[in-house]
Amino acid sequence: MAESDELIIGGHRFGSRLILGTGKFADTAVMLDAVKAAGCELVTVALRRFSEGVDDLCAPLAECAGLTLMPNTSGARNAREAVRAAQAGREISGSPFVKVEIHPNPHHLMPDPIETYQACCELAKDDFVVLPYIAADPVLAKRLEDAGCAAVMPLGSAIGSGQGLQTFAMIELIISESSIPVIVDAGLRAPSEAAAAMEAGCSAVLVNSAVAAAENPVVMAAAFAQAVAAGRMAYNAGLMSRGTDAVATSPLTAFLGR
Amino acid sequence: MNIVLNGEHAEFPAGALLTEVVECTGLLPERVATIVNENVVPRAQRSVTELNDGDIVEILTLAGGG
Repeated sequence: MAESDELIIGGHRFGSRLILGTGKFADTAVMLDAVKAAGCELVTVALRRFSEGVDDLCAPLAECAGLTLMPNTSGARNAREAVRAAQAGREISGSPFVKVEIHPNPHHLMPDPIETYQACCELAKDDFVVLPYIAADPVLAKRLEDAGCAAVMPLGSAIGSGQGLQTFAMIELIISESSIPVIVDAGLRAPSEAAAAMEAGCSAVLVNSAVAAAENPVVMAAAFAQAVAAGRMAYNAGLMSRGTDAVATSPLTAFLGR
Repeated sequence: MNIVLNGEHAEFPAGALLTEVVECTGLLPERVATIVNENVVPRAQRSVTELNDGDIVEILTLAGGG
């Protein structure tokens, strides 16, 4: 089971189901150690204006063997800007993957569904492997699947909030309706939440703050990797059904009494 | 001629090519993306992209992000 249980996104195969964001780390060395400890094969990156003396992540990430880069469109306020960011990201990363994120309101960073949908339609036609960051909306998720997205990435809770899987019931609905991978992105804090998402049938989990803002990011990255693997294993094993009544696991035949 | 490079005014000789602006950063050309007046200019076209006075040029690199 383990060998054939690959994550397939837009025809690309991955052994790891943990996707790591590379932001917010204390420095590049810690980030790279966390990526290695997580054993992840897909990481998100952002675009930034070149500026003298600021670390360029391109070279260090290129040295990590077997790593696929997924540039995001962070900073885009509408579909037009997101498409431009995606094209620029592809120029540098050489990767067809793009995480479409359009969140115009800095207060809650909730994704704009209309602009996101428009950007995804355009990018899917331009041969990108499109993974949109969306609110946990089953209708939008289905529309994005029909538009040619390779996966959908509903949020667990607000970006960087550490509030966990607030949208769990909606994510379950998305999974039940979806024939493309569903990846929980944003809001997770603890590895147990990642395991819960995987047990429910998520195909992968994307975390950044939960690792980068941990006291020990490298150990936390390894913890998330184990939680994601355990959750996936449990999903494949098939959870027992839930009931309201107790069902004894030991024989109740009376032999101690009279 | 004056251009706006990453949000700041910069002076280049008239008819400068986009490749020359990229060279000024000292970064490898394959490690940056270039945008001129809101259009992404692919790497292969930088050497034939002549800049004009007032052009808005963005040179982007990869940074950490979620």
